[in-house]
Amino acid sequence: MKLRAGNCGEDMFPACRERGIAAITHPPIYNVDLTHLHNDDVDPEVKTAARTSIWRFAWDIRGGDFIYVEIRNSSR
Amino acid sequence: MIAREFVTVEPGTRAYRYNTRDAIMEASKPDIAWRHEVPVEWDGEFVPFHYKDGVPRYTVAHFDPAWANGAADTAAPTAPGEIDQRAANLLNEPAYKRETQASQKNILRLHAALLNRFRSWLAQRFGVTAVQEQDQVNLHLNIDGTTYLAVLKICYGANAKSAIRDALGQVLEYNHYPPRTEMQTTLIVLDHEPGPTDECYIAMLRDRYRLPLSLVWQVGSEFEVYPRMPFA
Repeated sequence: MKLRAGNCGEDMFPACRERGIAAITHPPIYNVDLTHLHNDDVDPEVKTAARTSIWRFAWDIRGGDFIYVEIRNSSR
Repeated sequence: MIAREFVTVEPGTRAYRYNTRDAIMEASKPDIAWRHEVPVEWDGEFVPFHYKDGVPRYTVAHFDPAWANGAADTAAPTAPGEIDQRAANLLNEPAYKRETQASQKNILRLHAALLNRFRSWLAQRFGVTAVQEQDQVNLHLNIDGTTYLAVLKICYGANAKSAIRDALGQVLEYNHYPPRTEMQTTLIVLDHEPGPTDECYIAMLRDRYRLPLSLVWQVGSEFEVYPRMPFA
């Protein structure tokens, strides 16, 4: 998982580490609670790779899983 | 890879939560809160490793150990300091390893992760719901009328032989110690691919002692079974 805003954005890893969380966001679901939604109900404006990432994050990650944190190379 | 974290909610349950109160924010965009979270505990023993991102467009992807060229510690921490060499020499048993309290904690977490992956695979591939035992260590399942006991083992130090050794005692006890109910077939589910010698050993146990054993291990998003079972 990448904990960085966009391709060249801010590194959110330190903030996540301090809080004991992994976090994600994406427009236009900045302020949409996904808790009681079905994954098919995610705003259709969220497309392709972002949509898959949000599905994995919000529905697939389970207790007992482990998450590797990757540095996203801003020069890539 | 710079860090590893363990998802801390109850094993097998959805981890997502929505933070309406104090979500983290980007310093340059204080109007955007990162409200979508999962709670984690950071692995303080993790050693970073080089990794080729096979899916650079994805923020979240299933981890593929192949991208790490064997550098990923997918089994358990096995730093030289964790092996009590003197004890190993006294026992004349090079494979013997001392597990530290920290590594046991890691193994419990890795065990839960393996259990989640195996259950998910059974559900997706066969529509089978595996029942977790009360101690949350083993699974019972029924596929086409055949009952299975799945004993899940972490290959400490990528050592399948030791994991099989541990599993065999458990298999006999779980199947036969009263008042246990005997399952028709036993699956030893490993987090690491066994070698040809491990497979020969299982074949010999099946042939000579009529033990209905099979090895199962993960390859990518699938699980392999040796010897092949009717369901796999």
